[in-house]
Amino acid sequence: MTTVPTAPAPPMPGRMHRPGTTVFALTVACAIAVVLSVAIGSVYIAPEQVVSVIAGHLLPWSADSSATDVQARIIWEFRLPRALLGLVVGSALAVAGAVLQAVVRNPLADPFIFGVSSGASVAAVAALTLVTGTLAAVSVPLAAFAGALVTTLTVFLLAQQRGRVTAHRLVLAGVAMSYLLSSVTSYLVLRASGPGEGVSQVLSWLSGSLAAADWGDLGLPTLVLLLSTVGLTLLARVLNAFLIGDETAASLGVDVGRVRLGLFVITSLLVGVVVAVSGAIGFVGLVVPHAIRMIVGSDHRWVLPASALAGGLLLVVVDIIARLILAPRNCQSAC
Amino acid sequence: MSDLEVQGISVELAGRRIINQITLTASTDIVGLVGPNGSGKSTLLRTIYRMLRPTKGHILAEGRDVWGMRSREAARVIAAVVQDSPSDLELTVTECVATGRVPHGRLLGAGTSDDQAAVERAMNAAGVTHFADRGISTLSGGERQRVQLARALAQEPSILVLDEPTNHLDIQHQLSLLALVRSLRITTLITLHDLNLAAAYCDRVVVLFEGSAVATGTPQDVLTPDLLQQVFGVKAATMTNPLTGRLHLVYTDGNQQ
Repeated sequence: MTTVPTAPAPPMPGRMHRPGTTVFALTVACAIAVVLSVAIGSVYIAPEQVVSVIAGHLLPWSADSSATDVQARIIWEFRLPRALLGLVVGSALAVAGAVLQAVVRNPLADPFIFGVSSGASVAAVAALTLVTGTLAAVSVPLAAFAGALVTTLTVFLLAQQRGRVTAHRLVLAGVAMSYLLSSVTSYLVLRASGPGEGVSQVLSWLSGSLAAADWGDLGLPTLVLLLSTVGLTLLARVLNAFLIGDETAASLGVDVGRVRLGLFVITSLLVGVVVAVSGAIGFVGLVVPHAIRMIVGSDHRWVLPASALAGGLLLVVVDIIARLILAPRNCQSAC
Repeated sequence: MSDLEVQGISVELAGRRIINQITLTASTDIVGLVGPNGSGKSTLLRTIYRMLRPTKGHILAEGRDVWGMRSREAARVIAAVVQDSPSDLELTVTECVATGRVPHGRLLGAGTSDDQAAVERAMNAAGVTHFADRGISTLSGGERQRVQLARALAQEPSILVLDEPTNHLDIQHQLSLLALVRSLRITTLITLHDLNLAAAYCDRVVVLFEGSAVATGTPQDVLTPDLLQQVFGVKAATMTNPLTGRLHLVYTDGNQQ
């Protein structure tokens, strides 16, 4: 057999394929962004003082910083939790987006479009407007997670056809649920628009905000984010198999239905815990995974950790910009 | 004992019987499944690679019940090349072939040196090593099928199931893909639309018609003008391919004289 000479493989457009370097660069960028985020505000604090105060808390035996007590309090009690919350929320949304896109093989999937965020929002708004008193603080995170989970399972049930769930039906069901739940949220807001500050509180929460962050908000989302990102990265090849297709994944011994359901529950947990503390933030989950795939390719061993870092970075940076634009008012990270 | 034994498999979907009591065996040979559209070829294959649980019957691979095993165990014995629609989110060739190691994954799929060696062997065997780093969507149809075959070989299976692997390929790629499958010497069950390809590359063929196996045997014995008239509704004549010495079929539609 004669072989026809073939042209050398063209370089892949837009793919740099340096995943290790990318992850390292993103880690450094995240650290810098967090320090800047803490430094910038109504009172500017020099970055080296920020670093020394943080170091002083993490390593109590290290040298005293030159920061005043007031500066140290601003840094540790107000600005650092906010910056770290931005990091965690952005990471969680980007990881959730990357997983959803793989599981339904649709580049349009993200927690916002898919109804997961809307479900969490409806439940959280219901908790905000209906529950009063001391219960309110506990009820919002619980309601958000429950809302995310119930929405996810409903979407899953709606997408069933003769016991099978297909990717495109999942997308249709998700988008439909998302619209439906948005109108429920509107109704709850209108209903609450009596006297009092309920409405503005809800509206501010709905458009996404990191303003109210304190250390207590960080624990649960951070734990959920770390556990699920590590777990999902270990499952990277299974996610890769989903990219090839359901039939192939099944032939590879992946129990497609059950694994897909499990991945949905993990993403709703991720989305639920972050929506509870930050409100519904779109965009990150949709865009960050795509941007990352252009740089590191589609292998989930790299897509997941790199998306987590890039999502966190994006939200911290956007929060800095938003605060600069809206200064001196506090602001939403409407992204 | 045959490598693959399909025993009385029936499938019902939404109350309709799609395939009915199909029995066949395959052992270190290539068995072709042929039949008109909707005759149940792909459905039968899907019960074998565990996408679709049969309503009745058993499938034995190396003597063990495929639906009684854990799914990962089954995927170490049976590998499939199937018809999935292409994804917008694409892997490179190596990443795609590496998913063939999912059923072997310890620690939820972390790559070991065994895995890497198996991926390299599979890529060599399928002849895809020279475009290892390209994205799947940049490949031609023939190259993509070779990649899927490499991915299946990375599973290190003893049985291959191929669903229309020659679809949309040009003649050269059809022939070279099937020659490659033959050279692997793995028990293979393959569906083919082109009866001449079945005649040229299969040791035995099973003809499906309306969900039942209506004939089984060597291509010469089975693919007769009478059978083609009954099953496909075409007028056929047989001859010998002067280049290969194997059965060759020519047809015209059933009404022409």
